[in-house]
Amino acid sequence: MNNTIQSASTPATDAGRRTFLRSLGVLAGSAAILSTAPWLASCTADKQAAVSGHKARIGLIGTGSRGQYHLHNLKLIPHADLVALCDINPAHLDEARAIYPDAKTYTDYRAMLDDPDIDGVIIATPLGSHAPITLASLDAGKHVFCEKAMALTLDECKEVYDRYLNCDNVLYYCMQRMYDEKYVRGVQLINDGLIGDVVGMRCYWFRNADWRRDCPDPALERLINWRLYRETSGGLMTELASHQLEVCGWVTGKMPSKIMGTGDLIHWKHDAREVYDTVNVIYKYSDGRTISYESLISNKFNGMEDQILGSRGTMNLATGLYYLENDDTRSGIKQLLSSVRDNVFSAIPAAGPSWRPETADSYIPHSILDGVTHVNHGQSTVGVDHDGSEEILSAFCQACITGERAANVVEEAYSATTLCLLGNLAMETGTTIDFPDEYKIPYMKF
Amino acid sequence: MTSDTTYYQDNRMFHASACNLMGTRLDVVMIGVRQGIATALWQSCLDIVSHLETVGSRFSPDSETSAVNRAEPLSMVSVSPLFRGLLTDAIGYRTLTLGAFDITACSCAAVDFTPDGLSLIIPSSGLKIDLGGYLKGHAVDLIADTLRQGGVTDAFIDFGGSSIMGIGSHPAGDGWPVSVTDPYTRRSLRAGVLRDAALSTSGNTPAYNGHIVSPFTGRAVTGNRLSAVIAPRAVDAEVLSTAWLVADRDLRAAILPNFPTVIDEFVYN
Repeated sequence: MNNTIQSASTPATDAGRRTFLRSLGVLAGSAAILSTAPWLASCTADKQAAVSGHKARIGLIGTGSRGQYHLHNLKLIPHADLVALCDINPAHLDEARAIYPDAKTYTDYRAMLDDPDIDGVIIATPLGSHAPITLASLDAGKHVFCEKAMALTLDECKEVYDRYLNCDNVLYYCMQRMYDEKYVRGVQLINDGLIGDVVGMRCYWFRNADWRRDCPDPALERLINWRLYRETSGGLMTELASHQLEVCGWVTGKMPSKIMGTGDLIHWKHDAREVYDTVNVIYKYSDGRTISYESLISNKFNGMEDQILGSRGTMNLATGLYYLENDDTRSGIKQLLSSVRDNVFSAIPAAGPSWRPETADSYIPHSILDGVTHVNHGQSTVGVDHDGSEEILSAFCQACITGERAANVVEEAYSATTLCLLGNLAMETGTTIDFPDEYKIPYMKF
Repeated sequence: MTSDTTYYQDNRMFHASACNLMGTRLDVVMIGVRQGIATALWQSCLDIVSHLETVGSRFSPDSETSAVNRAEPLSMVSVSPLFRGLLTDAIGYRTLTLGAFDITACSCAAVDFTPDGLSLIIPSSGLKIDLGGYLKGHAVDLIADTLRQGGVTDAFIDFGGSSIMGIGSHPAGDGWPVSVTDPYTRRSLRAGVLRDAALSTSGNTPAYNGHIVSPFTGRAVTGNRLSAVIAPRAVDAEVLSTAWLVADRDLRAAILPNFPTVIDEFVYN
């Protein structure tokens, strides 16, 4: 355990995290929540108290936009101390140094990993380098927090997973929905049977933007716009679908056995990019259920949603709402008619909202959470507040101090990433793919 | 627009509803009225609201409001006497609310007519009009007038769930008991009784957020903010509940004397 003692204030992120954990019942060790999200077991009140006054010494590898997003969040985590920064892009390194002027800086991550005064590293580099840096970090004895997806290839995923099994280090992947309050509560409601049997899943993510970043020097094109090239990126599947497919696995507790799909460059095809701008993938479970996945970046009308279809209702996890097939919620006017017929003088509820257009159907939206729900509309390519990213990063920093691994985080990331990569393979080959035996792990249930 | 009616003989209660009217649903309940009279009054109500929608609703592509909103800058758009009257009345509320209620909130533009009053001049910045709550409140007042003139003494009008009017009393009590609920938590926030008065609520819901734009900042009101106003006239309640969402405490205190008939009002969050 790191023993640097600091007076701990309670900045916004930590206070928000405790509020989130308290409202879910995690602090009190709620069995129902910990059954739904076992990775939150490391966040109970006594375990948080154990790190009070301690600080994890963190190094960040990859100081681009997402790395800087994490830097700002780290400033709000009382048990984190950012001590080192690393990037091969001097412009990004300068920007990060402006946020943490006292941090050591490196241009070679291997040199950073040699620093014995670093407990854990955050890897926010292009996908193509996730596996090699993760493996080197684990070998160097560092705890690791890596951005999703897990790796660029199936073999790399398996190599990282196997290495993780054979070491004692902590490994987190930034699958932030696992720490997003509305997702945790929503999945619990599904487990409780609110929407009946889960009969299918429909996930989509639509944007209308070219996915390019400004590139001041053509020589840096593949470094800056790494998402567009297959040597560094799995495209929409690894960058977007990975989050959503993780949720589907979380909800069902199972893995699809067959994958089929189609993808193409439909709109943004006049530059040198190599990844699809439009993907449609069907994941089929052995019991016949499917995940219908769709993403494109030339129309944003539908936004982003993780929709779980049940026999008695629909859970829209991204927007934090659910709808029931046979909703017995009684409208104000129905209550009024009943009160007249029953001769009861009872208050009639006004609907509360402003005048809104009526939708074709009469489904009534119900909030998963009481109070304000933070909704990510999916248009930011960097990150948003309150989407679970702060919470999972805080949990990682705590784990750097305690050395306690979070249950299932690596397994969920492995499962989701293999589905993404197999989706790409299905689209590229135009074939239906059976989940390969060599990439199955004991955690997976088919 | 579809309309359904039910007559409850035992209670002499008539309930009618219409969907897709001004983009929402209208319910009218009349007590102690013969079915034939109630049916005729309901038809009159539908005619009134449909006419208002034809003229002023932004949800109707053929309305005069939609024609104005589509018009090119510096052009002129012919306006009917009814539309001119609605615009003039609605603009008057901008003055009464010290700018907090503005039917041009999205464009914050001036509304000027040609000297003969027959056309509206579209300013160089364009013009976007949303009569929104004003139009709905005005419709509720006209419906209430229609029912009263038809001899109805006890009735309840619900337009979209957020603009409601109680005429006379519920058969089991004095007035019409209502409550305002938090759409995010479904908790009851406030209760009251409508006796010949209207309740209007404004705010966001989990599924419908950011639709009210502050005339002061040009930005949408976000988050779980809700306001409610009870006043004898529904249009006053509608205007104020909208204004209350964008006005701070001091401004609300400055506006309230301009609405001396207000019975109750509050802002949540």
